[in-house]
Amino acid sequence: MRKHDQNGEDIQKLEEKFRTLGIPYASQEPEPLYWANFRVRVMERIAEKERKANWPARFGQFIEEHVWGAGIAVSAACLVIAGILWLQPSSDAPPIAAVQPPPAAPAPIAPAERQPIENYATPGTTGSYKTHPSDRSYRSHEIVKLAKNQTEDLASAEEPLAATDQETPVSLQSLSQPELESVLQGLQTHE
Amino acid sequence: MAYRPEYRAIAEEELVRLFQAGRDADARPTKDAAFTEIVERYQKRIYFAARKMVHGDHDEADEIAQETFVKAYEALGSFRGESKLYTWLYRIMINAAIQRSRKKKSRPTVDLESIQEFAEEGVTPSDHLLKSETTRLIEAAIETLPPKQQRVFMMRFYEELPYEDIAAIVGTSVGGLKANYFHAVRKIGEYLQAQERISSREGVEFPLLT
Repeated sequence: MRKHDQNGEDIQKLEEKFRTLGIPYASQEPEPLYWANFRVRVMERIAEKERKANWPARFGQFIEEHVWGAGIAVSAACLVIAGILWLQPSSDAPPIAAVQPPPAAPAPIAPAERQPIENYATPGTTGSYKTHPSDRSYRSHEIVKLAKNQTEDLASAEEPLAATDQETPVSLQSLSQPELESVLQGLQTHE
Repeated sequence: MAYRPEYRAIAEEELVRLFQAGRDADARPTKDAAFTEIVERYQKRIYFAARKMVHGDHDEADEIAQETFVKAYEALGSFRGESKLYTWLYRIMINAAIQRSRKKKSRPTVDLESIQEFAEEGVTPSDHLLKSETTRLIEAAIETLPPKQQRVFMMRFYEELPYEDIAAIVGTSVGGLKANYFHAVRKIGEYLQAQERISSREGVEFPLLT
C-alpha cells in the first residue's frame, strides 16, 4: 500500500516537471486567418463528399425532373398536334368531293348504221337517235311533213325566179301524193 | 455557409439535438448551423491534439483535424450522448491519426519562422531557444515511447481525458491503461534525467529540470 502511494507521488512529481517543459508540438500556432477558414473548409469538404456520395440519388432526381418532364411535355405537344390535324385537314390533303370524270366521247357511228332520219336530227345533239321498227308509219308521216315544209321553202325561194322563167311555174300544192313522193325521192338522191 | 452567432450561447447537448432534428421550431434548417458551431468550439483542441499525434507536422494535423470533423458530421446523427462531445470527437481524431500514420510517417520540424514570431512578441532569441530546446527535449522523450504508449500519454497528460474514456478509445481495461500510463511517465522521466546528466557533463545547464 505504502509502495503504491510512493509510486503515485513519484508520478505526480514527474508530471509537474514535465509541465515546466512546455507543451510539445505547439510552438507554431497557426494564424487567426487559418482558424477563420478552418470551418469553411470543413463544410466545403462535407458538401463535396455528400455530392459524391449522393450521385445515384441525384441522377434519379435529374431523371425525374428533366426526362420525365420532357417526355410528358413532348407527349402533350404530340397530342395537341394530332388533335389539330384531326380537326383541320391540311391543304395538301385531297378534296373530299369526288372529281367528276370527263364526259366520255360519243362512240363513232359506223356509216352503215346510219339511218336517213339522222340527217334531220336536231342540230347540237351529239347522241344517236334510234327508232323502233314499229315507228315506221310515224316516221313516214314526219317525212311527209318535213317535205312539205321544204317544198314550201323552195316554192318561196323559186317564186322570184318564176318571174323571169319562160316556163309556167308548177305549184307543189297542186301535185298529187305519188308525184310529191317522187319529187322528194329525187331530192334525196340529189343530196 | 450556415453560421449563426446566436448559437454561441447554446449548450453542446442542445447543439447536438438541433443537428439531429435538422429543423427548429420555426422550421428553419439547423443542421449545418449547429455543426458549424461545434467546429468553431472544438477546432483548436482537435487540431492541437492531432498535432501532438503527428509530432508537430502542421499539414498532417490540419488534414487529420479536417477529416475528424467530416467523419463527425456523418456520425453525429447517431451520437447518443453517452460520453462528452469532445471525447467522442477526440476518439474520431485518434482513429484518423492512426489510419494516416499507417500510410505516412511524419516527424517534427523546427524552422526559422517560429524564431521570428517569438522575436516580434518581445521574447529574446535566447529565451526562445531555451524554451524550444526544453520543448524539443520532451518531444524527443515522448518519441522514445511505443506508439500506443505515446497516445495514452498524450490523452491523459495533455488532454486530461478520464481513464474510462481513454480505455474505451484504446480498447483496453482501465487497470491496464493506468499501468501503461505510469510506465510511459517513468520512461519519459528516465530519458530526461539521462539527457540532464549528458548536458551537465558537457557544461550545458537545464535549470527547468533541476
